Amino acid sequence: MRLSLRWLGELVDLEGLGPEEVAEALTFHTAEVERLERPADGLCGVVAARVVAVDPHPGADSLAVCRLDVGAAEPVRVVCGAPGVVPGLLAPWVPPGVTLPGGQAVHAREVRGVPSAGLLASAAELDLGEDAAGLLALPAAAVPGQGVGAALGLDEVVLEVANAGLTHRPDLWGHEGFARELSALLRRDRKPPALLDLEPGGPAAGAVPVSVEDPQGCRRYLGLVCEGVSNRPAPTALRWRLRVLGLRSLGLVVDLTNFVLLELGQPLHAFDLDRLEGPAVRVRSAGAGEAFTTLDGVARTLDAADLVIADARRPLALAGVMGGAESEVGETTRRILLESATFDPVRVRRSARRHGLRTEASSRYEKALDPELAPRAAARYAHLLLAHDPAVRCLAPVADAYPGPYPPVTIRFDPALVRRRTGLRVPEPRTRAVLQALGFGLAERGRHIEVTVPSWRATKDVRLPEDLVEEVGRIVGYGDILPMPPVGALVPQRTRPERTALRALAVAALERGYHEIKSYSFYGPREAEALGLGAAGHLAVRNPLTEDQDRLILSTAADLLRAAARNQARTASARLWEHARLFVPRPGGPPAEVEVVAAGVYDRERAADAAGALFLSLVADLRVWLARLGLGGACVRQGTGEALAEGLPAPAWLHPGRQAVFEVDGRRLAVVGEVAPRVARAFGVEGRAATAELDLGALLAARRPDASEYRPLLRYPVVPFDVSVIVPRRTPAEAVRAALRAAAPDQVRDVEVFDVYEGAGIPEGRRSLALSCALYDAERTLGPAEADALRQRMLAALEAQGWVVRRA
Amino acid sequence: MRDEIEALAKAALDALARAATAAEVEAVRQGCLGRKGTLQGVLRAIGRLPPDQRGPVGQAANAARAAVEAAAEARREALRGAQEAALAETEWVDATLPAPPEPRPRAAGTLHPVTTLARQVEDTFLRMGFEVLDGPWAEDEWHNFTALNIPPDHPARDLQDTFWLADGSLLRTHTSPVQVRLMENRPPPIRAVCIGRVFRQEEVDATHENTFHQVEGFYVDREVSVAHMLFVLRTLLAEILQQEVEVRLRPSYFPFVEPGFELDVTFRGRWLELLGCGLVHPDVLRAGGVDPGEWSGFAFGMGIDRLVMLRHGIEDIRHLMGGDLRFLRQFASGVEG
Repeated sequence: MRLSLRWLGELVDLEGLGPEEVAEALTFHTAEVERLERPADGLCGVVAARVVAVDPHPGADSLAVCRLDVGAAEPVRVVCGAPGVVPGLLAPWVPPGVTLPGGQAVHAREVRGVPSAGLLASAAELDLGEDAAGLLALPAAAVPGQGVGAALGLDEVVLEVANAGLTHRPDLWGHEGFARELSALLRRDRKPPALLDLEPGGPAAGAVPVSVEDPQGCRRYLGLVCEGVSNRPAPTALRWRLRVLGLRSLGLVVDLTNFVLLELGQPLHAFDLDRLEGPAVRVRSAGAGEAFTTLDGVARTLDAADLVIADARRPLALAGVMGGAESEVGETTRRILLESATFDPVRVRRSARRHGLRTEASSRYEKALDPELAPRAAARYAHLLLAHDPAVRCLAPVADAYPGPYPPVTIRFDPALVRRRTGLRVPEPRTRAVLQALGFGLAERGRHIEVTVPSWRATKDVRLPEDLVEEVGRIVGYGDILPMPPVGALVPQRTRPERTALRALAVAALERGYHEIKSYSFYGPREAEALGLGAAGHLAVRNPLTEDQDRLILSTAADLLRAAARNQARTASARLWEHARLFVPRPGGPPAEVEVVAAGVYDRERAADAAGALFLSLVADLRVWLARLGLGGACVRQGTGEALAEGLPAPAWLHPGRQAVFEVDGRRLAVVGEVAPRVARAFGVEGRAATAELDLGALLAARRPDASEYRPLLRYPVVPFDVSVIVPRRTPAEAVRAALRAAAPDQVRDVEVFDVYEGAGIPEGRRSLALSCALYDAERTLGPAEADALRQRMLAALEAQGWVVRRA
Repeated sequence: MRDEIEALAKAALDALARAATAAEVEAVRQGCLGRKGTLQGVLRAIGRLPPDQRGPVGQAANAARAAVEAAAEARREALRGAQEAALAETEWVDATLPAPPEPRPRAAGTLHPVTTLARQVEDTFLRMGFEVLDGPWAEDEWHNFTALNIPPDHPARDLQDTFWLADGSLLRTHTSPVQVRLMENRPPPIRAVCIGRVFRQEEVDATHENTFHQVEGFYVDREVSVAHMLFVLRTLLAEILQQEVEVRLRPSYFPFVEPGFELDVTFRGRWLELLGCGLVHPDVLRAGGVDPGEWSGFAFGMGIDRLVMLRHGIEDIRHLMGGDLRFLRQFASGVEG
């Protein structure tokens, strides 16, 4: 919202206040002023000049030598090629040494042999308009030597207020609303704008009857007929004021509708009455498929949700959004019907969205305008039109259809609430004075005040005592609030178990050399396809920004592979981890979110990895992570394409022979594996990569916080021995360890694999495992015979499985 | 001549069918289509034919060429597929084996700077008696908008560009839905903070991300005032910025608070606009099943990413989600474990 400081000064006494003071008052009490703009700044040094004489240029027919009165003792001579330069013309003169807004520096120079002291400028050269051909004509009141900014009324300040802070304030979309605020804030008098008395009531003879056929869409509709109008150019000062605030000038009749829009915040629309048929005007729902061409020349198809203003035959305007091309005011217009109406905010908002037409009018209507503003705006328009064009006749009283007045809003208010809610000690008389200054009506009701909300705040903005607290608080000022520690019951807060688990996992990740990354929660068809999840049931994003982010993720593997591809050229191998969520679609509503911790390793230089070292190192790291959560005893087994959790897809991106699953009591905690070469290739990852996902929810469920993995320290000697056993190639080492342990569960303290061999000397399809075992009894020292018996029992257990023990 | 072409093509196709490796496939392809290949020799001879024969022969040669190329590609693909399928056998690794020893000790990893700051915020709130939690990232419209006093067709919905999902839900545009979920789950008093990921449907550039992080604070008790909120926020910011700070309030508008404010804080000698806050709107309390006649509260929301960027002087917000090790490795300090 752009505000002219001069305009504000016409509506409220701002005598003696600088722009910064006004801006600060608004910022700290109403809404943030983001910027102060001085439109005349770019015109510094450019002054008004009166053309005294125009002589032909001796060397060129198209040029003239102008003598100018620039307010100095001596006239200056300037060569000028613009058409229509005659003595008496007032135009901007750019003296030598001045730089134009476009950056061009002006110098004294000779033009075809005639010296020229600077130049006479067009509107375009001064960045004041599009016209580049003719000189910019200054108003007759301009004085030679006067700055051009001042001559055009641009020597002022525009305050740019952040719109987000006005979303709830239907009253602050015009200058008058801000004048009201400043009056209350600074305790200055307002200067109400002059209105023409239009005597509301029955329509005058010659008035156009208006009817509201859809009262849900329109609370009030006023139609004012003005005769004898002419849409000639508006006076310069009016045009410049509109321009500075961002509106184009389209002739007096239209410019004044915009003037009132900016002044009071009420959108107005002028129809060319002679182009209406009927001429009664109806506010009705559009017919499905009804055609309508808006002012911008776009042919639109309406539907029943749109509200239109129509004459006997066709729509004239899309209510609250834009008028129609067929009834547009033009040069030939002699009679107008002025619309000042209050349309339903939601109807207007939906129409504006559907047709992609956000206009000055629609953005105001959607804030819920005050229907009491409509007659004032019409009366203001009539006053201004008459003031500018005494030939005009406004037909009063106006036609006024008012099917939907808002009910009056009264609030039972305890003034003590101000202190209770804000901590501000505001004396009660001050509370009353502030509310009154803002237009609220007060009536005493014992300890309470019955507060009547003024119509311009009563459409939905203010309805609760808390709303009044805000009014008083912001006007009094929040700067005086003393921070106070809150007082409450001293109850310990539970910490989320996820949080504790995450931190423990992060410690392990840091120790093991993993760098944390953050990745998007979406990916696209290309990456999903590359992971082998092209057919998986992803939840689609309905309005993605790019195709690469058109669905929510079902796997973190893409994140880790993307990061690997990005880094591998500079860093040949690295470890990464992240905390993420996977989204499993659910019928009827938001997806299930699987919270995971994911890890990835890549090694560009490891093209061949016969032993699966990268994969096994990630498996080992996962053990460390799980141990951090007291889940060091989780069992790991060969993975065969299991999904991490219900609803998640099988890990199609993993190498079929290099997968592992961690489980506790049959509950799956993690899935880890090397990335299949085809998938790595698709992501541009060279060498080998492996990924893991831990299901945080499953980890928490599997945890037994009171269980400990502590084992008493050794009190007696340990008896170590090694075992070598030949097993079928696919028999997991873990099975051998388990068999050894099971043979003497109370005496086997540790069993570790220290060598694996297959090849020469071992039958085809088999391999040899070497394990070191430690025997121990918690009660006594094991004797040699006892130890040997245990050993024999363990070896026999292996043989019972059909494995060949290599006895020394 | 056409017979000759067909014979050459057939020979090449037969050889391709027998090729057992990618190298063999390439050798056959070169032998037929390469610069010195058999088919290439025939093609060169076409120029010497009478003009009326060149057309049909040329067509036959091109068809043969295409057939051989296609067969070579198909064979390569088949070999690759067979190789992949064979991986389960040829590259099988026993997942229960210990990892081989590593040649070098590992250097320590790093935490993402957003995580580090989020933890600091978390810890400060825990010390102040706040509970720390998070809610769903994919939310329903009720919790993200309607219950927060932003009904459908409210202009405030324009202020938060939203990613909508195919099932009618959405990616939460702020952490505020957690306010409502908290109230639904337990009676007041409530002292809680949510730190988490939020989404906006916004084009990404150096200063805008579609995915970022917020802290949401929520405090409901009897007789809670703006003065209490100011104390908590000043304390929080002093802890995060690790210096004494001044704070000031400016009126602002968020539909779920009344009154609503922007809070500015002094940082490196100037006022910095840092967070939005206010007293919880009575309608929001009501939406969460809490009686506004009995309880009041405050809420605030603050972006973490911008604070991280300020703290470290990070020039481009895209680095945060970029996964670039040159960026990540710089945050080795500040990790408390």
